[in-house]
Amino acid sequence: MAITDRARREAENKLAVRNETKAHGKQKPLRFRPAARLQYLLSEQLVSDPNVAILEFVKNAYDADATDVLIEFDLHDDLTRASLIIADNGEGMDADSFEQNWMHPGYSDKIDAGPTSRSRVPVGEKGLGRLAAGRLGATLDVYSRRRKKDPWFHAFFRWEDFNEKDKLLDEIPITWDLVSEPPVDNLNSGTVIHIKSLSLKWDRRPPGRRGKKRAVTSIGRLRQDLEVLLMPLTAGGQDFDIRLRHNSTLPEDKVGYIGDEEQELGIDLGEPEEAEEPDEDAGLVIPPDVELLDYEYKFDLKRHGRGWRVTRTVKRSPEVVELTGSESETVTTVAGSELGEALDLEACGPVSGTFYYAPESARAFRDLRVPTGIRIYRDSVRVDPYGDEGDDWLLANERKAVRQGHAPIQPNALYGAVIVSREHNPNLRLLANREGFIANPAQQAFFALARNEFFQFSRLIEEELLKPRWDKQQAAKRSDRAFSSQQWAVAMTRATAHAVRQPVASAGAELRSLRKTIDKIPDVPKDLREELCELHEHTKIHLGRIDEAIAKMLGFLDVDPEPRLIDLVDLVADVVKNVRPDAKSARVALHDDNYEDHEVYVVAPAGLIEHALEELLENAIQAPRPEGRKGWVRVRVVENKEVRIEVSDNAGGIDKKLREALFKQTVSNTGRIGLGLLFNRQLLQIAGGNIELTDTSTEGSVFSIILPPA
Amino acid sequence: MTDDEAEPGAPIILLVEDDEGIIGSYERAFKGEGIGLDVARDWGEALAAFRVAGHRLVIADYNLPGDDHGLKLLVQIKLLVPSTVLILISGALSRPAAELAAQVELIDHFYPKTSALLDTLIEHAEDAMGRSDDETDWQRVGQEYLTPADTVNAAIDEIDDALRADVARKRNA
Repeated sequence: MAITDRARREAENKLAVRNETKAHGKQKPLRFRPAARLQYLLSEQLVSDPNVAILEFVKNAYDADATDVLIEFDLHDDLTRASLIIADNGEGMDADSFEQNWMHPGYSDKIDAGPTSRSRVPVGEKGLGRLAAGRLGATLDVYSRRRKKDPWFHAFFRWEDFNEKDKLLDEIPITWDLVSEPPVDNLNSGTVIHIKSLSLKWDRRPPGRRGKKRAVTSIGRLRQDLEVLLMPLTAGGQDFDIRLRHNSTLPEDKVGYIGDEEQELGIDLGEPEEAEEPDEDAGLVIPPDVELLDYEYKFDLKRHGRGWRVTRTVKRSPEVVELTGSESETVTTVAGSELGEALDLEACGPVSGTFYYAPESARAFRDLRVPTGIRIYRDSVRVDPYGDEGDDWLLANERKAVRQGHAPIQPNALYGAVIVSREHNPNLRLLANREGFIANPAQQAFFALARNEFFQFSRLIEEELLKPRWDKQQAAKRSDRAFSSQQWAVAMTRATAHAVRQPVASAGAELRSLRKTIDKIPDVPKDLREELCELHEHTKIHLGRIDEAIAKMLGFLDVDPEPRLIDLVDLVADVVKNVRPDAKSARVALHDDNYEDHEVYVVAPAGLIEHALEELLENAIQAPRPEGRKGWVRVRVVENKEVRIEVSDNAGGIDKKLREALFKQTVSNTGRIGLGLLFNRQLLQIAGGNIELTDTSTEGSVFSIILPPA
Repeated sequence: MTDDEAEPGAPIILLVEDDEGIIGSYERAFKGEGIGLDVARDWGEALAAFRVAGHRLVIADYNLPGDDHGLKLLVQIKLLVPSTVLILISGALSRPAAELAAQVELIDHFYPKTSALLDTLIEHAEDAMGRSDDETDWQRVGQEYLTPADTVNAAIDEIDDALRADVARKRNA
């Protein structure tokens, strides 16, 4: 009976344990002996997004001090023929260093490494990124050398070989040689990753729902991710160029960045085009060149003595300065003071960040192809997935949802970065699957702090940009309401006037007939005739009052409630001119106390104000005055915190009883119908203004028309 | 029989009104003044009555039954017999409509319906009754139209358009 490999291995294990026990006098400790399948599982299932796998290789190139990285797809509909090359001109490896690094999953010589000769802080510290290569294709060829004169080291991986649960990881042989040449020309040294039999059609639309700002094809999305891989907000030019090339027969704009319009319409990949020979710079991935469009908000959290201080600097574009009247400003405050809770900033460490917000320059923002979102950069390299579409680490969307879509900051015009470093924020540690920071007190404090800064920025935007607009909208709504109310009032008033006037006109006619009849009846006692005539006259007066009331109501119908730009001084002069004849006949002096060349421009419902002022002036003119008091009425425009028109008179004042009822019912101390004051006040209130009795005594009264806010 | 009790003469006043309360009270009052009053309750009835009697004074409510305005009726009458005195009355005529009526110079007077309206109308009626018997166009009513029918219709269309434009303007406002 043949002894199987497995049986032999188990026997060897048992023998080894026995010998170990015998030698040490105790049982041999247990040890992990990872199955080969572990590598297979990690490579295929460690990362969900294939872009992350490519980004891992690009980060490796960055760590290796490369200045150029080429990502080149050789795409075919038959995926077994499709391949991908990731080549860099970085430091490169020889056989020893390859074995040391690549062949020890979890090992990384970058863990304790300081900055590179290009002052880069190494990003890959887990030694796991390379495992993700299995996510991209069936096989992996790695070529690397340190110097031009060295031979290329070449190793070959076939991931399917690791799909062996009965073999240990170190039982899978990896072939290597020093003679194979990489599939890249003109590369003196560095590393070339060649992945064959790709698992994905990169120039096609990936499955699932596409984010709003995401490109259509997988390769387009990869380009977007590469654009923001390195922190574009870093001062000075980047010394790390990434080129993304492909042989797709699709038009470049279909494969690369896809505009909003096409996103709206859905993708039409169009007719294949003749592939052109790429020039040297073709496919260069250009990070967004962000400039101050509307707002720039910088924050910088630093230790200050025993505590922590955050310094905030707000810059505004000249257009926003003009709009808001606010210039640039810098404020320093105790960190987290607005939160009302202690943040473990010691665990978190110093943090800085910049938010750009361009609500007024949305088109320019789009033209710059700025990938919106606030991303986190650790030592200049992006930390996934913060800032991705669908990731709401700053709770911007949550806040928007809570406020029913009315968040001060619209995420589609927001861009920025929050910056940490491995050196200063050692407790902010990354998950192995590249899906964010490990949850711990440092991460909690970091998130709370960043969210608070975002909240402070949101509040600033709300206060100086949105609130004035909302106020304006509210004023417009009030005006609309006033207009609707007026339309309703017009219809109601007209119908009421018509309904009342018909019987009133009849009653007037009947009264005349009655008088005619009284006059015709012979032998009516004189006192009875006089009494009947008196009743007739009283009834006539009462009917006359109804006529007057209806005329007053109808007088409101054509008042224009629409706000428009007016010079209040002019308006007052016009109204004074209109009522001057009445003042003259009442022998009351009417004074317009505004200076002739004085101008007070406001946006206000001129019609309502004219009507109200006319009413107040008429009331003041007609108000009864003590015997012998020579009457006067004065009117003037007053500008303080608010603009108002004051009408003062020297009549006998308004007694307490009348005052209490003044704006509640139709009262008058002149015998005139008090409807006017009531109606005018209500109409002005609908438009956001008011009429107030400012002062009254036996020496006179002052009424004010308060203008609605513009 | 005294003057006061005299039966009203042949009606020279036409009241075009659909409110029975006003019709009743005005009929009584005019009768009391010894002034004959014809009453029509809609436009068609009014035109038919006018063509027969050639009233000197026509008083029409602005809101007549149907789609048409009293204003149009008055214009048509004025075009038929220019010397007819035309009065438009209304319970709630809007200011634009009143201004429009004033622009149509064919209308002689516009009055709101108030308790004192009758006094005013009776004064106009007395004026109309005192009008001389000089031969005027009204005496030729029934013999021929002074204004060609085409011109009348064109003028009516024009008024109609103006009123529709007024309504549209208000809707758009």
